[in-house]
Amino acid sequence: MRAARAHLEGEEIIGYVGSYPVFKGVGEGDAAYYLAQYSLAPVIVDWRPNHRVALGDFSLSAGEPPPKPIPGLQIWTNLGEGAVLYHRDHRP
Amino acid sequence: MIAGILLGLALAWAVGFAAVRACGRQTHGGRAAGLLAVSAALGAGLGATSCLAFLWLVIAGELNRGLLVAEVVFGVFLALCAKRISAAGPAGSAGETGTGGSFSARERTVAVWLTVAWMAAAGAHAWFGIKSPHGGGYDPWVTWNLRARFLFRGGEDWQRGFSEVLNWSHPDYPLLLPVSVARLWTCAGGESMLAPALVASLLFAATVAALMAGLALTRGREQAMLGGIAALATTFFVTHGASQFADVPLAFFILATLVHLALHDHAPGLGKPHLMLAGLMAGCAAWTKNEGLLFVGAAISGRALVTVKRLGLRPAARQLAPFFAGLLPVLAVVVLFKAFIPPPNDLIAGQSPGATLARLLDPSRHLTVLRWFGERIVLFDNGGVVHIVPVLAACFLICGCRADAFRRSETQTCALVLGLMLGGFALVYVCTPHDLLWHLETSLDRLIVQLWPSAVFLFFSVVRTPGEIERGEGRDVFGRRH
Repeated sequence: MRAARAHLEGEEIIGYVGSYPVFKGVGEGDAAYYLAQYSLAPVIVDWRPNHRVALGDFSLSAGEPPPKPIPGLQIWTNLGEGAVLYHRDHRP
Repeated sequence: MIAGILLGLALAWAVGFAAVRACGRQTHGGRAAGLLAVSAALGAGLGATSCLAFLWLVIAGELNRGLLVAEVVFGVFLALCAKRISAAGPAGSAGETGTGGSFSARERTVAVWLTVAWMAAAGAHAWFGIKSPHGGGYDPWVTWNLRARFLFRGGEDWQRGFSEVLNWSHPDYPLLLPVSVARLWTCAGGESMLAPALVASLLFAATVAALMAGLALTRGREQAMLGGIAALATTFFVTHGASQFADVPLAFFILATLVHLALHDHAPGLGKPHLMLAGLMAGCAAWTKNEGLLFVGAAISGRALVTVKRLGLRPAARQLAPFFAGLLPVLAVVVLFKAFIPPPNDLIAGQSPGATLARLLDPSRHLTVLRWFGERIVLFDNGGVVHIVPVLAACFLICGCRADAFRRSETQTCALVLGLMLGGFALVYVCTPHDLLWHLETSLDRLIVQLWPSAVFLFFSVVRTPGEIERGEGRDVFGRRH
């Protein structure tokens, strides 16, 4: 997440997509989302992906997970260990 | 970085001492009065400096070291006020009961057990600090330390931490703890998880210290040590305090309020200082957690009911005036925060006249809440070696209570305020828009721990001391006088 923080300097709010859905309760997907928000503060991490930039957090998936495709977003940076940054306007 | 954190804590403590002294001369002499002043100063210091830091954020736009200069100026101002007050006349005495002289053989035994209990609690806090530096469970890092990070890392964008997107992290919760932690990081020039761990452990220690000091000043040294052992033997209270939850800091402010009210009643000649300090501590409770706002209402109405019944309307109003003088400065900051910064509270936002009325008129909800309250209070601390409530109930049956226990205004105030708090909690549960069983399951134990130190204070204020049992004073549980 430290690498993600460096990339996100200047961003106010980003989206989020994880290995499991986020219910804002105490499930596995929720814990991963809370941890992402805790690590990336003061950037606001929305639990929905629909922002200009979104964090893909697949660290809970077994092995080295392939980044999930998200409609309308393209992979910006693969940070490794299941963490990916997506960007709406990015042209690789 | 550690030096910066310690310096920040020392500065808060110094401001707190000045604030406590500026409330007027309290009891003097004796280790118990000193212990109470030290613990009250920590609470008042964290309360005052966090209020100042929040106002600094609003006015200056970000936390920076200029805040420390403002704190020093504020502390010097309070110290000058305190000096002027102390020059005005000598301090009174709360009439310490059995706090001097050498220890008897029985007291030495109790002191050994108390030392063991303190060491075990210190070990638990050190272990938790190493094992879970960001806090145990969800709340400490998902709510309090997350908010502290937004305030510290956010700079001029510190208000981002109150975004509606973060509603799951309760951005409407008051800020004493997160601002205190962010302030210590500002002093240190960087983030260290030592800051929240130290704040949590110091407020835990201050809670037990205030409990013991209050009992020593009103019931004697031996009763104070027994009260300390009972608190430290409550495993959930110790571990919860070490886990950086805000419930134990709130428990401290609730207890400190009730102890200062009791000291005022115990030695009414002392005048206003204890009432003013009680108001200040109640204000800090409201600045710690939303339940603190409920406590402010319970403390004012409980105190008013007792004093109006005993003294009449006008003297009761005169007694409440210094309480409000201590309360209002902190409450003004809470109102400023609540009015302008966070999104609405989830429990209030989920209410509508029709739905709330339907919940209130549903008898099954009342019965469920009553059943849970009964079970959880009796089985409180179910992770401990024994259930502490049945143990204390057995002690009460065996030892009996002091002769005038329930006629004393300090006992009546404490019992009434705690009763009103329990009633308020029950009403919140009945009206909750969340699933009732989930809400009870996830929060009731934490609410009980907020009242636990005050309940221990009330218990040992009422139950006969070993000395009274020996001398045959008081009455047993069947009402027979000795």
